[in-house]
Amino acid sequence: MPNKIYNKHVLISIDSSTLLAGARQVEKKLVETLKKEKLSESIKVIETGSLGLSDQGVVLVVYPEGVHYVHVTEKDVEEIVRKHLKEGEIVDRLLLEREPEVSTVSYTEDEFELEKQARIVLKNCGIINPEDIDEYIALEGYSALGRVLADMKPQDVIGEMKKSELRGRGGAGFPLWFKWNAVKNEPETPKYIVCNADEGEPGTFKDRLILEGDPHRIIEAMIIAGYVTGSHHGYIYIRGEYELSINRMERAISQAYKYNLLGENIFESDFSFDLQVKKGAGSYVCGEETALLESLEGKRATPRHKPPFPTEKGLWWKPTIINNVETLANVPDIILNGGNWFRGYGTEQSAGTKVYTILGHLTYPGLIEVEMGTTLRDIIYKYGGGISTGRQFKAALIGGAAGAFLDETALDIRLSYEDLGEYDAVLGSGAILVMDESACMIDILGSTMRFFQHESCGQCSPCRVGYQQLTLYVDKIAQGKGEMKDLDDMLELASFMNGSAICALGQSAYLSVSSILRYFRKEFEEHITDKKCKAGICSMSENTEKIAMRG
Amino acid sequence: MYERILRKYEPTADNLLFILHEIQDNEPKQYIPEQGIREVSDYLDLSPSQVYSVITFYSLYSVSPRGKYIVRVCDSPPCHLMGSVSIIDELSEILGIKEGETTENGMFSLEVVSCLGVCGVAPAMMINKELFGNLTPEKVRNIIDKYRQDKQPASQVAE
Amino acid sequence: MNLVELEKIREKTLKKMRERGIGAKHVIKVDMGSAGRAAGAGAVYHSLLSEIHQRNLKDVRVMQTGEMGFDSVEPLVKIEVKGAADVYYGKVTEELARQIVSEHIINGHILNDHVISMKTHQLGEEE
Repeated sequence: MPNKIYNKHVLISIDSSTLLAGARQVEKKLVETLKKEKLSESIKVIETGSLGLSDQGVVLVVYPEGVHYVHVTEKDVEEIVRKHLKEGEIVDRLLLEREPEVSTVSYTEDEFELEKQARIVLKNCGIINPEDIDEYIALEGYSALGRVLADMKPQDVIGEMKKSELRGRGGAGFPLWFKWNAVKNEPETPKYIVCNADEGEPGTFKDRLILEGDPHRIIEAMIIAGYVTGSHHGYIYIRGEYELSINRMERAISQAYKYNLLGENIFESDFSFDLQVKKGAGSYVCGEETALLESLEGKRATPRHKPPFPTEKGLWWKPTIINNVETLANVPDIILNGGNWFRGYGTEQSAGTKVYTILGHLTYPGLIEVEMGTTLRDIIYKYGGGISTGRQFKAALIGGAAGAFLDETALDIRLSYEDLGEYDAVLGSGAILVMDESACMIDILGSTMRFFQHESCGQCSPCRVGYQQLTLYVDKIAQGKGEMKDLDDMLELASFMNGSAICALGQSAYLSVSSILRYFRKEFEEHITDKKCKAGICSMSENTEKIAMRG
Repeated sequence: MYERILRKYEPTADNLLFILHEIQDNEPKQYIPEQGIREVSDYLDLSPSQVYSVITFYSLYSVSPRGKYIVRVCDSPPCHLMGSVSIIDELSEILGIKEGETTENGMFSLEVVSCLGVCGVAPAMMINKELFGNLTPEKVRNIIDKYRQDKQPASQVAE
Repeated sequence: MNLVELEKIREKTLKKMRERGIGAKHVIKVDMGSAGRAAGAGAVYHSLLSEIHQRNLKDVRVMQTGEMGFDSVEPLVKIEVKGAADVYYGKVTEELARQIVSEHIINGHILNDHVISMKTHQLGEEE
């Protein structure tokens, strides 16, 4: 490999959002302009994954200065090359107006009291070239695996995971060590390691960012899981819509095979592990772990009854670990720094950090990684830049479509497993949808119910019929034909679904309906008694019927 | 065509989703024809109805012919909040078709789908493998206009 | 692949990446929040960059950050050196910025008169 010295490097973030904004065209123009100015020899253009700035158009970072340019268009390229790269003068008008590392807590007001660099999961995203395994290795990649295979017994790894108190980040929050230990103790073989990258929860795209920006981190964690549990086969199930993630992951796997980090006798030990990407075909319910297993086996993705749990009877009814992408992304650093280090972050019962996707009426929608226990207020106003429309905050939907609605009385809630539990809410996938006064809660609930109606796998009737009925109730209210009795009926139906549906998809109706009625009952009553929608969204006429037909 | 695709995979049931993806991607009208279903079920030793049930379960597959360009609009809560309804209405109007339909010339199909995972730029849509975000009705018109400039008849395009 | 080979790749690639400031030994962070900008952080930032550029220093990375939360002493600059305590300088002028580069970064002398806070690492740094 030629070891060329460049004076400067220009990183261009290539991910689904920047591609939308024309990153390829900018990149092409940049390369051409550098050539024209005879700078190709001294300045190198490198593609990197997402920088977590999803509303900033095409993003360029010039190193070594670390200058971030945002909303770059083809027209701006020449100015950047001429002024900055040639003359060293920064193009002010394109500078990022806030901190480049949006997702780092170290730049908060508390910095002087407790400095905790909270970038664990995303620490390489946007910094390394995700298509170059060497860059992952340069930042200590695969050294956790090296340490595990050389010095640690499976029991030691589980011990560290237990100390770390890492819990699943996919929604349920189950302790990671417990699953690993259960599969390790299963006598039956073969065993399987599955990474759940079927990220379909509306409003969530954290896993996409990790898969696109740091794919080797997931591979390394899965090999470690394999070693600990005595498994030799892994699958990463990525949803079919994530083209770039699938390509990046496949490329990363083939690089790992070339270095013999996958395959036979990894690091010259007697441990062998194979890994394969499986592409989904569009089904929300696949995020449910047993449905995902069915899909991996090539069937319709209908959830199984539990128990038996996958740790006992999983893929092809063999012991299987299923972990979410974000959960696995924590594993290498826990090995390198120890479980206690990880436990040092977060709250009493929620260790570590959490990646959130923050969306809706926010100034800076996007992705952040902050310590567990950060308040909803901080997330909205400090990281999200407050409400973009200049109107008042009205509601937040926390945890994706399967989450709970909260109003302004809950702004000071600390986001952690235990604190959210007090509000009967869940951390879920970490999606936070923020709504201002212009939102109508009946409209949003309708959208949520239609989503579930559409995504119900149809296997059990509480879910299949339940969401249909709930949608009808909501539409009825939106058309001004509701009765007060409907509200109680909806609650009763949702509560019944919670008790009888096979999987979380059907059960989560109760969380949506009960939380929205707890905080916004008045708005529903206004629709029913006054036939009025303050937000002006429900037209109280046939028009709504048209909307109701979708889904 | 089927022969070539099938031979790439071991004849085990877990490869079904892969095979279906590849057949559909190679079919100009972006669907899985009856003959495809029969060949796959023979190869994997499954009944045609089993294969059919899998195809109809997943939203990315189709058993009926679709347009050269499949327009997928997200209407999940984050996009809904940011105005996806007006985007769907606009598309319906300019394409002259409703959700789930294909234009007569076989150029466009309109589908309303769940989250595309680019919620930071809601409302969003996907046309084949290309993503578009921060949509407004006007932007949608411009995008569709661009695709309409493609004068190649729909049936001649394979890849 | 064995651990020795892994280490070799690591060192070689890291050297290349340092050319673009990744994993640099010295990191200079300038508070570019609205308060910082209002107090003249932009000029300080440019001054740091040009000093580093003129002296052709490698292994230094200058970053813009958001508000660090000490409005009264803006412009605020933080110096992170691997293996040493972090140092915060307050009320930094363009002149002081150049001194920070020539004294602190190059010679390792902390400019005590201008230090407003120091911070040692506790977590994850034991080894």
